[in-house]
Amino acid sequence: MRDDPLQTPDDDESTRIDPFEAELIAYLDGELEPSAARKIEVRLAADPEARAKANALKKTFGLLDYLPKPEPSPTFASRTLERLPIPSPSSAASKAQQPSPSSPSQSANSHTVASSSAFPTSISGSSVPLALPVGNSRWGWAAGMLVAVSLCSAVGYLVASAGYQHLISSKGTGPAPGEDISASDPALVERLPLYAAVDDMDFINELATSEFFGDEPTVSIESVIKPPVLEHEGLSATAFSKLAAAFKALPIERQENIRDLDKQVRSLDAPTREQRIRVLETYIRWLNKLPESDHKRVLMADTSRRRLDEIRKILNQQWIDGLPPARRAKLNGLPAAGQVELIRQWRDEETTQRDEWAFHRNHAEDILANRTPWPFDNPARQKEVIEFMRGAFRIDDEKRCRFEEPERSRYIASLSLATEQGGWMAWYAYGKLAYSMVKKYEKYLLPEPAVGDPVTKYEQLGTKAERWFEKGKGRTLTANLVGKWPDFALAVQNYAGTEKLEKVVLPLLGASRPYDFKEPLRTFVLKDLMSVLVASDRKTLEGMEGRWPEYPYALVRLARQHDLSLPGMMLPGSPKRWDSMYGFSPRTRP
Amino acid sequence: MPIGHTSAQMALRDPDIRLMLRVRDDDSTAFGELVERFQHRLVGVMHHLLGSADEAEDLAQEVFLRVYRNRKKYTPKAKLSTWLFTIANNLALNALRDRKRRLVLPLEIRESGPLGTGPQESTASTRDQPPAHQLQQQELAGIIRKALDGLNERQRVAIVLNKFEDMNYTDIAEVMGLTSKGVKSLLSRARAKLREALQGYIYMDVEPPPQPGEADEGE
Repeated sequence: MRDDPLQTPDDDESTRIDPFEAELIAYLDGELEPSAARKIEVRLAADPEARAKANALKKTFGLLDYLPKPEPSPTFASRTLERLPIPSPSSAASKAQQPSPSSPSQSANSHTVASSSAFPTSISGSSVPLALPVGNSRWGWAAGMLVAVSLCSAVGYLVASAGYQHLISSKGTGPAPGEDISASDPALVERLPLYAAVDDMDFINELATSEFFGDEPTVSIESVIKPPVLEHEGLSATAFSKLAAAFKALPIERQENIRDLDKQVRSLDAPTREQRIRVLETYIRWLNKLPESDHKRVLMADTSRRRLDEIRKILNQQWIDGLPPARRAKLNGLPAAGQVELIRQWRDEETTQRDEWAFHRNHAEDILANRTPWPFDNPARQKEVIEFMRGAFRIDDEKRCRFEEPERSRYIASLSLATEQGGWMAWYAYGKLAYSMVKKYEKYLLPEPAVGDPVTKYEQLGTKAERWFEKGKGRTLTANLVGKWPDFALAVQNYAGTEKLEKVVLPLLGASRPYDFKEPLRTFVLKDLMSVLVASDRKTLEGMEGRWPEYPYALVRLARQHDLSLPGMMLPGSPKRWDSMYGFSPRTRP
Repeated sequence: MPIGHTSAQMALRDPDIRLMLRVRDDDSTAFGELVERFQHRLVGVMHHLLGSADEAEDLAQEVFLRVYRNRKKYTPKAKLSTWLFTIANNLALNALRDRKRRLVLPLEIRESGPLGTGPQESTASTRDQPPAHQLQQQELAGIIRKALDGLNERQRVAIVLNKFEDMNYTDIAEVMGLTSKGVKSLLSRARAKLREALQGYIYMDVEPPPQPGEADEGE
């Protein structure tokens, strides 16, 4: 017991303690003997400085109330209860189970201790662990194998193996049912851990999707550097025999089921097979780490579909639990519907980011060599892109530039960096910026007419139409857009549309026929685009002539479909390639 | 044993002790009740000590698990809360000292989303409040946090127990393994330091502090 903290090494000596202040604090806490308290009171009455100090002490102490007071998360209590060692059903087993004092640093995820403590560690006798509910075939379906797997660190063996080829033997058709597989097909025994908690091929394929384990780094990252293939040591003799025994203990149907599954996996093409094996390893490791109740729920599900549902539920909860505290706080502050929406948004962002990383990994070589990314690796194309951006967004014109500050400065800086520095990073950043800007302002990229001035003023609307924009809503919606193309015209069109004015009143507001366009767009539409359209699209397009802005938007849509780029309206170069290089949009949800 | 201090008599006085005795005797719902009863206080104290909600929950959980693991050895001596907070104190001090040795992350990881949406996020959460008021509260909380972090581990524990658990010096002494005199010195140093750090901000508290249960805004 330490007596005086003034002596402790971790206490700073820099602030010399003021004995009066110390007494004052104790007084404020009501900890002084009456005589000592009275002395303080006398001093306070007489000394304004002392009073000020007392006040400061009180107030600063009170400021601590402004610290946030977070509530424990709603699952705190249930999670705590789940971490308790399981009370065992039979007294025999309970003797084998002392609550073991685990280290204080045991995190919520290290449940291999907790889950395997449910099973006595000696399997020398019967092959059915004592603590299991007897006669529950569902449990027996997987647990026996999983026990063998976790005890032998058989999964670790799989993980450590450099490649999977030696696991997939194409020799032999497998043993007959009932035959001792440890003798006839040792390779199958080695693969058994993979199938321990799996229903069928469909199940595996589901697990391989991004909704489940498909996006896990352990699955999606193929090693760039292949480790040297070690002399294949295989499982230890104990591990091997335990697995074989566990397999034999399974019902015949289940044994058949596993053999079948193995055959199907072996017959997959190499890259898919390897991915599936990685998925299964990840799944098993994940399963073994679950808290007991979750672990049970997954294994006890009586159909493959229900099992997947349970897995999905747990994965979702883990994802939420894994959110940083600030994000969780934000989520908790929303009503249920808002939460769902926010979660969807965050997951989309994650997926997008993962796709980006995958992309960069795939282009690792180029990046390392500092090559210039498409389309900037071709000097002519590079120029085209820059010109397009300049023209479409009026970069040089500070007043009329489409970009507001700081967008404009950002753009200019990005372009300078790319042209001065070169290399992958700078050009890729510029490409991304250009792509996102074009996407953002897509609807404004409408071509000016070949003949006459673009419509940007009220006078150009004709007397009939002008009336509608003299005052009221028509005016307010358009007044500040005068002079801007195509903003003014779009606002006018929009308003007229809502008021159903068009047919009666408005002139044509923009180019909406091929011959309205300037070159080179005109020729491109008439020749390049028309020649690739199927008859029905051509007809649709012709039917839209005269409608603005539907006609030009339709042109863009069709061009994109056929991977063409409309001069002056779209980034030069294959739209598909732009999308795949620079556009990472959230994957469409099923 | 002093008069009136047998287990039975203590249990009669203190409902918490009664509860703990049920946990000791493996009453199936008792432990759950214990967690429910103390989770707010434990998580709260841990949070004040560590500044991180995640760590706070982890450590609070550890306290409960330790209580459970040692339940058979429990004999009521003083208030149950004192015993709980003694365990909490040990775990917190260890965690704080471990932290010093590791690479230290900012205690409140200012959230910026995967695409760097940090500034947008914080303004989104404050959209419905008059900006000046909101900023003031957040700023103040940050300043106070820093002041608290400026204390050493034991000063911090003493002050948190003093303020938020309303413990007297005797109880704090028991929790921290010190004498009352020692606690007095520790606290005076801690609160003097606090006064120095926060004196300039006393008049920032124009609004009453947020009540427990109000949603935290982007902390």
